[in-house]
Amino acid sequence: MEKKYTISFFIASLSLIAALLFLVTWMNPSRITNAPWSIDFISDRNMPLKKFLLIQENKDFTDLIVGSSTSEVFVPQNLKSLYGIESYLGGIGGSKTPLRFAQIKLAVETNPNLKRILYTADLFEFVSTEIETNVYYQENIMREIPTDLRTKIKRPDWVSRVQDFISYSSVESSFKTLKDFKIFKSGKYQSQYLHDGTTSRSMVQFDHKEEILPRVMRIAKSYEGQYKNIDQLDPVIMEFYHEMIKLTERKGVQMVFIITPWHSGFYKHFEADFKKHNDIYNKWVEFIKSLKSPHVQVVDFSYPLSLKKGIGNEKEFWHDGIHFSPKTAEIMLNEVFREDQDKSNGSNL
Amino acid sequence: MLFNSFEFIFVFLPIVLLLYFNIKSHRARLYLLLISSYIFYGYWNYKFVALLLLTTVVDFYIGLALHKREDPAARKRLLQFSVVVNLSILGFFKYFNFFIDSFYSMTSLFTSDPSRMFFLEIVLPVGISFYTFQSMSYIIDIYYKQTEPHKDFAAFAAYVALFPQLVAGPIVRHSDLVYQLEDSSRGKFNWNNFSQGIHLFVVGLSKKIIIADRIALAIDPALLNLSNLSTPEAWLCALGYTAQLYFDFSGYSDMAVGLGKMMNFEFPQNFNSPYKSKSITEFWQRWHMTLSTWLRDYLYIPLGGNKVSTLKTYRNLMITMILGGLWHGANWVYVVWGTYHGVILAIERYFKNRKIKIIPASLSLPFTFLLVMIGWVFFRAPNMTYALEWLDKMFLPDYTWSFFNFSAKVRDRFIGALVIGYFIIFYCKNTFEFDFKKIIVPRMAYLMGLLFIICILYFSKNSPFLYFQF
Repeated sequence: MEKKYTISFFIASLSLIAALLFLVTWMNPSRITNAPWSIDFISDRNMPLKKFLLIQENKDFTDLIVGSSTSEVFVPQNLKSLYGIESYLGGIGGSKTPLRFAQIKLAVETNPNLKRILYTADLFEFVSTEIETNVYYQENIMREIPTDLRTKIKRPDWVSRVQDFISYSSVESSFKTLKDFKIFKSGKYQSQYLHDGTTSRSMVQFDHKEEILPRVMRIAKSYEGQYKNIDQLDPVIMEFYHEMIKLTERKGVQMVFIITPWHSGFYKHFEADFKKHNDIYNKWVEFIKSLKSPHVQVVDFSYPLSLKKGIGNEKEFWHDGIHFSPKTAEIMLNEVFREDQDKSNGSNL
Repeated sequence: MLFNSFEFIFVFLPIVLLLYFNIKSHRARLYLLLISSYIFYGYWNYKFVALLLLTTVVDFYIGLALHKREDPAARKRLLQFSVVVNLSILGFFKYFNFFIDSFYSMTSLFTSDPSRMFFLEIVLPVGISFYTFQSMSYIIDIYYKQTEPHKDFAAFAAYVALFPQLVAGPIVRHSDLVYQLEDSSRGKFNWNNFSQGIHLFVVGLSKKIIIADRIALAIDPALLNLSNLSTPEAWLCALGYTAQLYFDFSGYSDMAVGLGKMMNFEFPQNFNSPYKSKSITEFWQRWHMTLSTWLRDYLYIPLGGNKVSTLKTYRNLMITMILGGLWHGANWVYVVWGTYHGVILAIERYFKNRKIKIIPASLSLPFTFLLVMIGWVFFRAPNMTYALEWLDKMFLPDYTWSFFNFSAKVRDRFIGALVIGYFIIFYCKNTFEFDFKKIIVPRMAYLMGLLFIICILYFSKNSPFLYFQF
């Protein structure tokens, strides 16, 4: 019986793994494999690729918004109504610098109308050069990154690679993709992405009845692990920044770096660690500010300057510790476009 | 390396097991256990392998020297040397900054300017408290002539470093393990032990991943925001942590026992349904049993135990519990937690000696559970102010009924894990009560296979066991 038990256990486990592997490689939700049986359907759930391909299709926008989930409140429809600007929202929750670079390069090279990049910079980009496996193994995206930079990107470790296939999220996405695929086959599938990159598939979801402080603390907790790894600003990420400046300058596209604000509670949660880590927060702010040039605009909403610029700690300004509300986004955009206006007025004089 | 990691389950363990059962020479098998245990330990921080080796070398040679000498003074000096070396290493890595901080607080040198205070940035080696106690028990046993020293360094080093129980116990006595390590028949594959080992390992893994980690995902962020917790939330956090700690730690112990079984080793029981206890005295006979017996045999009894005057017995009890608390970490909250348990144990002893029952039998279980849970509030809190605020939230109701501090994303799974967890705690048999004749059947193997895969799907790179920090 013991032998039967052991063999049954291994048969059950291996069969389940095999079944899940087949499902994930068949649905291929993040396009991470080229198995012969993989379907050719790109689900809306594959946000990096979907947004990337939309940049290629859309030639109407003049402003490209890139960044992490913090950039998602810079809604193109608002930019159009407030400032009359056609923009494209390339921001993706959790995206790393190489993906942002690839988006910028693609837009610069394929869109003749492009005038400006609105880049929401965040400290967490500088944790590591390790990038998402669903970007690393995505040939269309990776080919936009110059070879010398590509070789410096830290390859995802084998555990991350295994988790691409065997993890709760990969299995969940595969089931959801299967559902989407069925609808697609029936001809009723409608993409949830608009022409300007906006989608209802935001990474940032909130219970707005909830008080702000619990939300701030919750996100602080989830960033704790990441933050503790930052001993220095990753030099490769800095190189990516310099490279994107060169790239946009060459094509006459203006670069705007927005140093995004943090809620006081979020900043204070890490304050002791900032100091322990050689004042990493200020080093990051200084680095972004040092990029300023006639072609590069830097808009500084770092803590505590953000407080002086009218972004308080109240609920109306924040979704949580780092994700801000549309009202905050408007304050920031006003500064971007006021500076821009000042500059053009100055040049007219 | 974590038991709940791809590296361990898909690379380390299969290779070690494959080699373990295929190596013919018993000596080579010992070296395999030793090298694999050092790899397992060095995976966190290879530098600390030297520390583990130092403890091993010192105690191995002192053990031999103790055995050779008959002169009581010389023997005592050797024992003292070993204890000083072991406790100095433990003291430096675990308690140095704690003592410095306490010193600054208590003396006029205290300054509000942290830059004027002298601290060292010390990384705590994982499992140091466990292997130090294990190694110390060996020397103390030889000193009291309760055991013979090892002549074989590899076997002794394997005893100190054996990977299944190296970092979080159970704390295995030399006399319990050494004969197993010396027994060459243990290298023979045994279907019975292997199947039981698999079963225990998967049960332990499920306790950790499916219950403890789901609870942690909800209560950790909520506890970051203590001042905003409502009374029901504060209670849910206390209930959650009480279950989390049990499932996390007993899950680890089950995995350790399971891994041992796979390799034909028997490890002692570490948990015996502790929350079913009807008194704190009983609780300590059921919770982290290998530590309790270690403290009893190497601290409480040498202090005189209960064979001395009543007052001294209470003193011994308090010393044991306070030091037991401090063993868990360099923080005053652990001292308070130990003292709290010591005081309750003393009260229970006082009434028991006088044959007075102050709690009705029907209420003794919930009352004990409540006392244990209050103790865990100190155990979980980063400092005393925090612990008192948490208790304040629990016992001075604010009459709000909000659950905003538990994010909607994790709330359902938290409640699910809590309900299942407490059902297991109060109504199910513990792993040492399993009747393997009944459960080692193919039907159960399929269920275990399913649980195993569910656990693997939830593997996260950042999910260490709570007791690793001790």
